[in-house]
Amino acid sequence: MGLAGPKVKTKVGVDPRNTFWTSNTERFGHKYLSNLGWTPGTALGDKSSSYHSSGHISSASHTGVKIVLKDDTLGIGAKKGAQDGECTGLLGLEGLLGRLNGDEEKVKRVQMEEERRKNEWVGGRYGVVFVRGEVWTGEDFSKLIKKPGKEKKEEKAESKEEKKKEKKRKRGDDGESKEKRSRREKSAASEDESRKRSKSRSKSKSKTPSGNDESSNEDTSAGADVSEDSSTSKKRKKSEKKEEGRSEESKKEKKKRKKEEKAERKARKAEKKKRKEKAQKDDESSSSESESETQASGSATPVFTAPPQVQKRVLVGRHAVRARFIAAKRSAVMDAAALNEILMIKA
Amino acid sequence: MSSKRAGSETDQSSTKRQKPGAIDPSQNPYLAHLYNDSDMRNGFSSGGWGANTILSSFNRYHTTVADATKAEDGPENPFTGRPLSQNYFKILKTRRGLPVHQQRAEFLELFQSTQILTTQIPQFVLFDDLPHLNGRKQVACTQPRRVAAMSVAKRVADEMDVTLGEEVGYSIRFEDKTSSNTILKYMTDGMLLREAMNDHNLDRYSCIILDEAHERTLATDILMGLLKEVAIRRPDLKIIIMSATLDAQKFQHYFNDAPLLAVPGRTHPVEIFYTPKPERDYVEAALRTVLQIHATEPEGDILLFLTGEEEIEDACRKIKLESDELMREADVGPLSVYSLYGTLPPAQQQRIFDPPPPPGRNGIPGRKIIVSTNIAETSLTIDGIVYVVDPGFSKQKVYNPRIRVESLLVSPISKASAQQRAGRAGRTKPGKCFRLYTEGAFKKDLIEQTYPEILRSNLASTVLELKKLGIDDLVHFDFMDPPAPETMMRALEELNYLACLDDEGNLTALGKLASEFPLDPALAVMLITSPEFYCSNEILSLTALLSVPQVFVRPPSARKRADEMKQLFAHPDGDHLTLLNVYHAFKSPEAQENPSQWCYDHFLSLRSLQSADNVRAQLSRIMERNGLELMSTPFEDKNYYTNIRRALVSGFFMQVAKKSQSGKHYVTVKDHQDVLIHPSTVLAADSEWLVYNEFVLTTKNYIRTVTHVKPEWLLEIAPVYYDLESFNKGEVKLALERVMQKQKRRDVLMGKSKR
Repeated sequence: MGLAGPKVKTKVGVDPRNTFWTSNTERFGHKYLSNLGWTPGTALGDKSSSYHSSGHISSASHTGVKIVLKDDTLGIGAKKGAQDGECTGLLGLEGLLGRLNGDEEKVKRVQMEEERRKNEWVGGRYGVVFVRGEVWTGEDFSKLIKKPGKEKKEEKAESKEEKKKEKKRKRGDDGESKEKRSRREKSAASEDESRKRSKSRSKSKSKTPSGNDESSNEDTSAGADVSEDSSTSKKRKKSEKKEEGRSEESKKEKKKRKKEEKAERKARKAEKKKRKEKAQKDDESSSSESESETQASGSATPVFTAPPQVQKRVLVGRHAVRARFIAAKRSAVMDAAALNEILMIKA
Repeated sequence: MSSKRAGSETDQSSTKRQKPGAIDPSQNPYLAHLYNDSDMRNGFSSGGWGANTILSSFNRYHTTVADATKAEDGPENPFTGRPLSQNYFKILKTRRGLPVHQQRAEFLELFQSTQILTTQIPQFVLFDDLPHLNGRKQVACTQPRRVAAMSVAKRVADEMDVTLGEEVGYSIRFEDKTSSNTILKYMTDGMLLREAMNDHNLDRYSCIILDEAHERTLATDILMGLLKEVAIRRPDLKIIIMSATLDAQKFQHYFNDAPLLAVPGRTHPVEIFYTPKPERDYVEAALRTVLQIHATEPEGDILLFLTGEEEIEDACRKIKLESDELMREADVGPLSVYSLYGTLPPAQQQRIFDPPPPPGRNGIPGRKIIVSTNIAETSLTIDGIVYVVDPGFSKQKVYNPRIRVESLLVSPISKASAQQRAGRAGRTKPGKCFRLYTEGAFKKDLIEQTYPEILRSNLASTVLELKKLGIDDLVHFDFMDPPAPETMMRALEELNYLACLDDEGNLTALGKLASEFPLDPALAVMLITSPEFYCSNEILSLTALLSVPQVFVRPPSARKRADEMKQLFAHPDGDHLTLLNVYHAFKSPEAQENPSQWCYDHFLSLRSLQSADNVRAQLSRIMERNGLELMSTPFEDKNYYTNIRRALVSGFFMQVAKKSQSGKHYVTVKDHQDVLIHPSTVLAADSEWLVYNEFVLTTKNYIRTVTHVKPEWLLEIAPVYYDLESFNKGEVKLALERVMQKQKRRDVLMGKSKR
């Protein structure tokens, strides 16, 4: 908060950590434990057992539990003095700037934002927004019934549900690519496949504009599929090349391959286009989001999923510097908090 | 513990009575299983062990589910031989519908084949272990909490259709409801630990069940380490560990890969919601969330977790105010708000089980909101909860061995705890859990498991217990989670200064005596030495008062009046003496006429005073048994209060603070921590040396319940601790040196005058 923030005075005692006590090794407790074979820096307990050495013992057994004294009502993850970067008075100004600059989109966005706020306020009344997380379904039993000793690896898993999901996804991918591979082997003609691929792509395209939560998820996963497909096809090419060496190769096949390559190029182009579209959408994301939100607020609690992560194109050299410069400039104007400070508007 | 003693005494006496050969062994109901053909002679009239029922035909550790089912079906109670009631069959039917019943065969198989079993089932054990037919053994089942031990015992007695206190009984710190017929005994983990102190092999039990082991109380942790050793010495002892599955693998691994029986709970899926960004004020966010749920979500009660009494009461008031406004403006159902925390009187705690209010005029069903501390997380199950609001904080005990302060501090909960809270929403139907933090914060900022109590407490009394249990090697004792070495050292040093341990670390006579008392060692030592100061009666009352919850009530609405009332009892020398005045006034005939009215008028807690009375009676029995005399200095004697203050020093000489030179704050002796006197004190100004009962850390360092003492007493009563060689340079040492010199001079003068 800087100079304006409330001053917190704390007086630290002479020896708040009582190093006088800790550094004294002539104490009864220290001597007693040492006599029994304890060495400073190690934990107590039966060290000969496999239990002790298999990572079940936390660092707190060495150094004690450390706790940060809490004397405020900040929620978990919130930081003292950090502001939301949101300021209620600034939307009007932004709209004005937009109009002066003839930036219609901006004006539109500001209106949408205002609308959304109002909806949130009126509709939600208490204005608490939540993000849907995982579904908790008691404990996972399959994990427990396994024979003892084998679970060590799994224990580290952060959350069971997440892992499951990932596994499912992976399995799904594997299954698909396997299927595809087998199909490829059966029918040498890969045209089919590329058609199919383009179809799936067009499908994902057709889905994206709908702006549903689910579809956006699928979108990203479909994207991943695509990239995987292309990589597998590349691999396949290599292997085919090897086969070429062994067996004779007919011109037809060559042609087919060429066609395939063409199809692939097309696909890549399409992908690029899609990315561009995405990027554009990303610019508008706040507006589209607000749409989805207003839809969602019809339901019981206003719930929306976090915006899907968008891969940005990596720029190199001059372009990168320029892009960064532009981005910095833009953010300076867009950042509500910064503007707030420059224009000295009180929230 | 005393109750346990009483139990063992009756046992002994009964065995003694049987020793004379005058009684025909075939008449002995306990040996009835040896005389199977003598049905008619013993009959059911012998009651108790029901040795002649269907169970006597069972082969221990070889029974099947079919056997047990047959026995359960009656028509006679297999344990008592009496006919079963209607109610029994009703309960039996629902019991058989539980998921765990499906796994009875699996359980039996595992139970019969191994010694230690970890699972999430005591009646099943009875039908196979048949403890009563096997040398009069019992099955013990421990619970971390007294209330749980009582209520579970009651329920199981109903389920088995026996009278509570007969075949099924319970034993908790100040209450023993068992008889010589008891075969299934519920008890607190602390009680079993106390029994183990005098019975190192736990010979009276054939099977020990540790329930709710995942709560990892201090006593459970020590018991587990102990049982691992006992299991080697007693291969016939069966051990069952019941815990939530959260960290089942850790338990399993700890017990040498014991087999695991998983029993699915009956929970519904719970949808979890996070906030998109961190909340700046979790209390305010919680209130808004609760009201939003009430306004927009379908029928179902709400459970909100907050940290402490004050925060909860404040939140309840705000919710009520807001909901009134909400009801006027919007079309929502009626709302009732209940608070729930440990210090709430039982009658008010019961109110959370009230049904939600009936539908309002608009026909929208009513809703109940419970604002609770983390006691609703594990220990209490409230049906009807569909929504859980979790801000992610709870008050947790922490102990800092360096400055010797044990405090309850608000800190973030663990992931396991958060999942447990979420699970509360899925008891009756699919529910929702609203977490007032981001998903990222859940994954990053929260620790995996809540730290067990052994890592968060002062271990002085635990070390004393371990020593009494015959465990000498404290370094290599097989702890599930070993305590921090510094905590262990502190505990050992405290016991050494209190002369409970000698310089070799062996238990002294005083230490053995102190371990008889279910008290903190400092309190126990103070009580034991009090006859030397001719005030054991008063110290006994004081000890009881210090081991119960706060006696003074200070409602926010009448703070001033409450403080005035407290002044009535105030003693200028300190809070300990004030407490004593309260107790004496409470015991006066005037107050005993109508105690509840008297307590209400004087802003005192009747419950605390009554339980202090109860504790006092229990402690006095232990004192009598150990030959400690109860005496008082006559009240007219000018040394009446001085003696009490001197006796205080004999136990609490390690908890002394001296006023700093600046006069603004106090400094703890030896540990050099700057502290303030808690504002609740009645102490008159300018007392240079204080004895304090507790050092608490809130926003500031406070010492609470203080009494003025003289430095000469410190040097005289605790010369080992006040050996000036061991002091750090500083004002405390200087002051004590001055006192010493003054004394020497006086001694010299006295000597001269004598000559």
